[in-house]
Amino acid sequence: MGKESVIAITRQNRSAIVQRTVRELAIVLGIAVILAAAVWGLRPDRLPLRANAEFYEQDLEAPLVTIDEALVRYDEGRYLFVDTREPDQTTEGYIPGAFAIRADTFDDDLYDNQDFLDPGEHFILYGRGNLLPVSAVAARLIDRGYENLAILQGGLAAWRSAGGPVTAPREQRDE
Amino acid sequence: MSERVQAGEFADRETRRSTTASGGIVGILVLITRLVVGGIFLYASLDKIAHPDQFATVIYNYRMIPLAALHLMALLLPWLEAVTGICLVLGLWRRGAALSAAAMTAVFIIALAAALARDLDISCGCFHTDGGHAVGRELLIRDCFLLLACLAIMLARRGGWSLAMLWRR
Repeated sequence: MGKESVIAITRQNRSAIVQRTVRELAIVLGIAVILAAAVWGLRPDRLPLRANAEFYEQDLEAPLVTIDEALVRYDEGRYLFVDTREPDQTTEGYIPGAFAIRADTFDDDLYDNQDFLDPGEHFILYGRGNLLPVSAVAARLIDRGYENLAILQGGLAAWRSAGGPVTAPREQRDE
Repeated sequence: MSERVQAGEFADRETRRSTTASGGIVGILVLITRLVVGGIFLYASLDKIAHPDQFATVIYNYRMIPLAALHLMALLLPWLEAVTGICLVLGLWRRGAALSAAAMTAVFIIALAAALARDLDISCGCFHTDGGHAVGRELLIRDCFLLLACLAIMLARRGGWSLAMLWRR
């Protein structure tokens, strides 16, 4: 075998190893993609594929949930809804079954509802649409051990517009 | 015999040699390096897999990834770390796994350097998604050593003990 042939074989050897390495990398990457997709699909609290700019830019304490996702979760009945609006802001009504936990009366509200609000449950917090006051209530709930929180994007107005059920305020129901 | 066939046989022989014998001192060194690097990647992936939302926030804090790709990266990267770590520990697809580890480490080095250059006061998110080490030069140096270890695993002719050796017996 001539010197040129040896050099040619050595080049091809390197090429074969590089090709094998790239092929192995593709296998590793493929397995990772499959596992990531499978686990993402199986998780009930899966991270949305598209990040919500409001959540990251406002540095909220809990992830946002869209109205469509919230409606599905409401129908499933596995999530509890928490109304964070102050009493003078509730003339638009309530989401049926929601518990009132307000910033001004946080401790009293939590005490009144302690039999129903297990920290292990999943909660969706909502307000009038401004996310920061809701996030403030979420922060206090997190301090009390409530970990599975989400904030309703758009608040009650968006929920009503999307056809979500709303109960009239107590005063109107009494009339 | 054509040169192409000879080259293919050479590559096969290389693989056989690395999988049928531990390769002496070099093989043992590569094995130890593989176990350490693989263990690091596997351990680093666990908390991120459990809390992808918190890991997404860690990545966002670096201010390098567009929002459109943020969650995809937070979901995929931990699994790539885990699969890479398992492959390195078991000696499966050694060179490919080492290349994957080297590529990830290079990205981490770039991200850390960019954060340091911009004086960002953030946690690195290397092993834990809540808190953990603040970004600093010592992390950059650690990752440089990690990159060298990954390259050594990838370029070594012999890979040390591997699961593939058991299959071939």
